[in-house]
Amino acid sequence: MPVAGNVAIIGSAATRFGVHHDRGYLDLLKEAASGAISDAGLEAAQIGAAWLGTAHPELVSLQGDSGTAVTEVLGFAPKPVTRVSAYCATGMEAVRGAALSIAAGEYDYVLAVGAEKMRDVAPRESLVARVANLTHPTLAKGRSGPGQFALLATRYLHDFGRSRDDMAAVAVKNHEHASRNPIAHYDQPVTREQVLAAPMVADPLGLLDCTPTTDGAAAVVLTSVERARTLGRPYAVLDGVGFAVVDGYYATLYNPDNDYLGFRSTREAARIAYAQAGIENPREELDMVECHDCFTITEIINYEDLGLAPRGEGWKLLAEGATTVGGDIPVNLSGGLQSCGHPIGATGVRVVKEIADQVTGRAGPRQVDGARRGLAHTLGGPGVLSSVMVLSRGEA
Amino acid sequence: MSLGILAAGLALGPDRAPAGRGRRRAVGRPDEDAVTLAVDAAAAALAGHPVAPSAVLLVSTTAPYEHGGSVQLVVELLGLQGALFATELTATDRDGLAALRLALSLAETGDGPVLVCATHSDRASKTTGDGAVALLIGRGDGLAELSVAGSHVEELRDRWSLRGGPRHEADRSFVESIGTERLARTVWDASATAGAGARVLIDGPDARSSARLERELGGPGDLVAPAVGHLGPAHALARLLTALAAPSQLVAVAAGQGDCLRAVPTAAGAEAAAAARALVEAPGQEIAAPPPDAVPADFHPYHSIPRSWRERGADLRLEGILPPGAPVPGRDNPTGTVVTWTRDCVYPAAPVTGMAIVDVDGGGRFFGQVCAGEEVEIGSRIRLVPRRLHSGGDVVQYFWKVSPCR
Repeated sequence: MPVAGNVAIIGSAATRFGVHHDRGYLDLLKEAASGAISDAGLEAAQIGAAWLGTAHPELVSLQGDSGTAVTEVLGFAPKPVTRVSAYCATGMEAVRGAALSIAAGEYDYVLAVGAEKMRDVAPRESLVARVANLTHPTLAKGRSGPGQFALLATRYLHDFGRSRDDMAAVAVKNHEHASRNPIAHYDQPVTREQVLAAPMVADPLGLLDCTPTTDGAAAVVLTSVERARTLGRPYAVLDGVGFAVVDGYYATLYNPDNDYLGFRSTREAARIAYAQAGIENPREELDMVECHDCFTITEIINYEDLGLAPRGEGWKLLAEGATTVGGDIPVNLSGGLQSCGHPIGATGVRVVKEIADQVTGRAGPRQVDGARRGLAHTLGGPGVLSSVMVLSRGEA
Repeated sequence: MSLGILAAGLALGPDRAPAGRGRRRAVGRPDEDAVTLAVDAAAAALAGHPVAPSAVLLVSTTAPYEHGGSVQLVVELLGLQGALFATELTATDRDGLAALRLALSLAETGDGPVLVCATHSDRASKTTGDGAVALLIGRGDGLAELSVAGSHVEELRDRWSLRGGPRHEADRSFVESIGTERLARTVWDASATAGAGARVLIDGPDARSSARLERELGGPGDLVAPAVGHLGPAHALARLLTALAAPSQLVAVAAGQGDCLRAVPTAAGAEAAAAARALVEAPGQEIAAPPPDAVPADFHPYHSIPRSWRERGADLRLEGILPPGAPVPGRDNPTGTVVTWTRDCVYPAAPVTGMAIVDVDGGGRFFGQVCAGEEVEIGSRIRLVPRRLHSGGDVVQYFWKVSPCR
């Protein structure tokens, strides 16, 4: 059977996202995985298989380079555990892999867990150093994560006559949202002036335009909708699952078709997910969105790629307050990557958990009244791949 | 047809720093070195010339590789790889003229013209300049007839260094007296074959006594060194190139041993000389001192020798990045327009690294660094030029960078 409409999320958990100097990769992984299994009302022995999302195991002695980390922390032997990696969409790709196994009827319950331990080294020595030291010796040499997205910011501000103020509005909104999220890395509001005065990271992106570097883990437990209905517990249904890989990592950087105003991968993934979920007008039919705001410009562009605003008009949603709590399409009520941070493998699982919590009425102080349907999105690499999932409240 | 200089190119570091007593020296940017300067000069020499060289001679005492060679990089960056003779001379400043002598012999007996690239890059120096001269030597109409006028060899050591050791210079009075006297003897002997009316250009081991000797012999005086510094083994060639206006020239150089060449310029040579002089006299970007190369000691980017070989076409000629049939980048550097850009402050090899996306004229998209010390914006017209990447590894990684058109 297809995933869409047939796979449910029945349990979830996440660690606090932040700097965990006192806890290792396996500690974080265990807290999230065990927590999600308990939240589902299950024992680890009832889980048939697991998918582990970790993008950068080399930051933690190669723990998480395979699924053995899950086996170790759950006492899971000899059950299969598959490690997946898809740049910043790693976590959602772990969820998709787990969902496919449920749809195939292979297992009754499966676990998708994402974990990343990035702060055992200083931020500049983690991802930035990896990009600089380990990637291709010549092609696009000199880029960093912020630098790649800054290229879009420069072009977007130029073509649509916008300014850093528009990007700052994303940071201000998401940091305010994070004040209602107990697991956020940064839960204090920031002002427009603070955002604009922050040190420059990659022109025109300043420090507060960027996601922090963070440790964390998140997990969800999946089963079939048919089985979920029998459990007497709230559950979320995967209505649509789109994953699009549109080019090679370096090839996309040299592809003349890239206009540096949006991400084809998000548009393709959204098209698939919307078709499966029967969504024609996402702004009307979704109650909230968690999207990949690795940098402030990314959220504005995501609005457009996800069909919430026309091309070049994503910034208007912020100006109108549409994506702020209480707006008609609130975005990143969790605080997003801007405030939660971005432990890469964990992020995708966290955003799925956030939407599952919302549609099942378990989002606490962030709860959108009457929420029934929401969207989770992550974007990977230089925008070359993207994952979009539409989740809705499961009926008993 | 006689043998001579068919075409010439001159490249200088873009910055000008004080070199004492009102002199200035040309200073290359941190992403320039003897190889990139040689390629820039060679590209200028080869531009529009119908016949590709059959041999390449690289001359430098500051080439990036002490062992293992640098000339193959010059050859690949110029798109000349394959069945070609290439070697390099790396011993002394005199090797620039020595290479011309070899080139004359090779061109006389070989399959075609010979490209001589003499180049010098020493940003830490207080007196020498960063620059390169490329001369295409062969048979046919060109800038000047060229012939051998004389040589002299004996054990006379004015500048030297033991392998891996510091540089030494002999006592100045010794060099001034004995060294310059030997140089004078070489020139005197050569003058017998140079013919009446020849002007003598001297590039000896000691600038002051060489200048005095040149004045005594009626030479024009060195216009190059005060403007851009002494260019190492490229200096004699730069002086030859910039002096091609006279009806007959004799150039002598000595560094313990000496060579003399006789050049008879053509009208085209006079035009090339004027262009070269204009480049030497151009003001450049004034700086107090070269900024340090800020690559941190712990920056060790991945590299792989098999990969470098396998992907040399992409690295050194943008194969697969530019469309099939595009001109060879090293000989006809691509131009384009900036699509977008950033100044990256977290890339760990420099305080700020400029990056740009470029739509290349004729097709193709390029993404890479902006040349050190340069800035671009959306819509800027640029040229792609070969430069060294920030490299903390055991090899020097060359790739293409974005340089504003001026």
